[in-house]
Amino acid sequence: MAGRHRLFAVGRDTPARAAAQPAPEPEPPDDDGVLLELVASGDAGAFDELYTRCAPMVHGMALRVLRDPSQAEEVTQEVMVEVWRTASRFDAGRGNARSWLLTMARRRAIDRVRSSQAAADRDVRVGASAMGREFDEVSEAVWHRLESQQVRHCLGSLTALQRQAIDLAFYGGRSHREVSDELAVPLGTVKTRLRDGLIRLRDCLGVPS
Amino acid sequence: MTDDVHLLTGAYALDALDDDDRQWFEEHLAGCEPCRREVYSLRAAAVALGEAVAVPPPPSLRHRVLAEISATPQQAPAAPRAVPGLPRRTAAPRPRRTRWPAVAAAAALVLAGGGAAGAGIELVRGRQADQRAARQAERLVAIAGDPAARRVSGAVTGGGSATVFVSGSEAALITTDLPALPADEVYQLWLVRPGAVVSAGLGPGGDSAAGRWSRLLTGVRPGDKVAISVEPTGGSAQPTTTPVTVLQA
Repeated sequence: MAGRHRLFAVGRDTPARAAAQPAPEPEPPDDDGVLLELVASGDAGAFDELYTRCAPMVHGMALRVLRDPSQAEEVTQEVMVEVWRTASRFDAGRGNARSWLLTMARRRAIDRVRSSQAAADRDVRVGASAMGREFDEVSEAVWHRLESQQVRHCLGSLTALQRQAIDLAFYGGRSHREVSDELAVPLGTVKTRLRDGLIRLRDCLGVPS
Repeated sequence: MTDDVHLLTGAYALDALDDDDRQWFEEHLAGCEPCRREVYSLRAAAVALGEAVAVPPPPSLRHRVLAEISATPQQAPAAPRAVPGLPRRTAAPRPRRTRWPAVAAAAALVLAGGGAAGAGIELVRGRQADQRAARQAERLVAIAGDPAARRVSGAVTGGGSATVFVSGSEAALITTDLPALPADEVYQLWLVRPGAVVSAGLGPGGDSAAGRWSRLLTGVRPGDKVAISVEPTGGSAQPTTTPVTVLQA
């Protein structure tokens, strides 16, 4: 069933049409960005606060990709120290602080997996779906948290194919080309599923666009 | 199938592009504002996906991280700041020590650092200090970001400026471009009110006093002035030098 369906354009809203929209609303304040500014000037108290706010996401992401708690802790430590070291390099114009940390966490975790000796191990680690029916104990506990429940509810507004693509790319650490290869669907189809799925998720969560 | 470049916003927001594709798309982004806006909002959805699997790490990790950063130098910003270099205090003699006029005898003492009384107690103090620091940082961000907070700025003698945001009985003090101090000196904060000058805590000292730092002041009363003076390491019971800045809170 997977990959054989033709995913025709579902309610495409291309950026070209966005030109007719009214001026964008001012962006919401980025509290983590404010903290990052303070961290950049050497403020350890601000770093401690940033750690409280963001370490669970960094750690959870590493745990999801690596499955191994001790490696996840190592990656979390590496990421948070790197945040301290390079806070001044954060470019607020390119996104908010939390997405910067998330990207760092995912990349480091994925790099670790890719450099692992046994390719077979890697498939086992990143293969299982965070959004599929089988959860391991840790994932189940995580999905009961309030924020997770909201995301899980909103993921319900995606098509199965969009969920699958996002799962492989985001939680599974695949590039969009790898997703295209694995599912044997054209690259453009993968791009569309990722974009449309993420737009639906965004709109359901009520993120301003 | 035509390859519509704008379609890559989703993959990019999920960071699912390999290096070549990513670089190529970023070049596109530089000239496509609708794509940039879309990427910004889709990234927020990606963060939600990340938060959905958040798992707090064990408390021991925090201590390891804080220990490591205390030994980790920070990278300077890529682009030079507007003010070139920070003026350093020369080896010139200290400013003449003068007592402030009309200072009452009673004054709050600066909190003294705890003496070592055993590893267990130090660890608890360390954790409490961590928690205090975290709460302080939280309050600082909240006050500085509060549109209803009163805000006063002023120049600092020797260089730089200080800004105070006041909200209720708390104030956030944020400094910019202050000069470094000799290793045995420290900035100290004061609340000045009729008949009394009260210590509001210590700022950084030595080299780390340079540039930007921030402190949370509590117990601020209406009419108070916030002052910063240079004191010997460990602080003083009352200012022993003319303050480098005085701001009406």
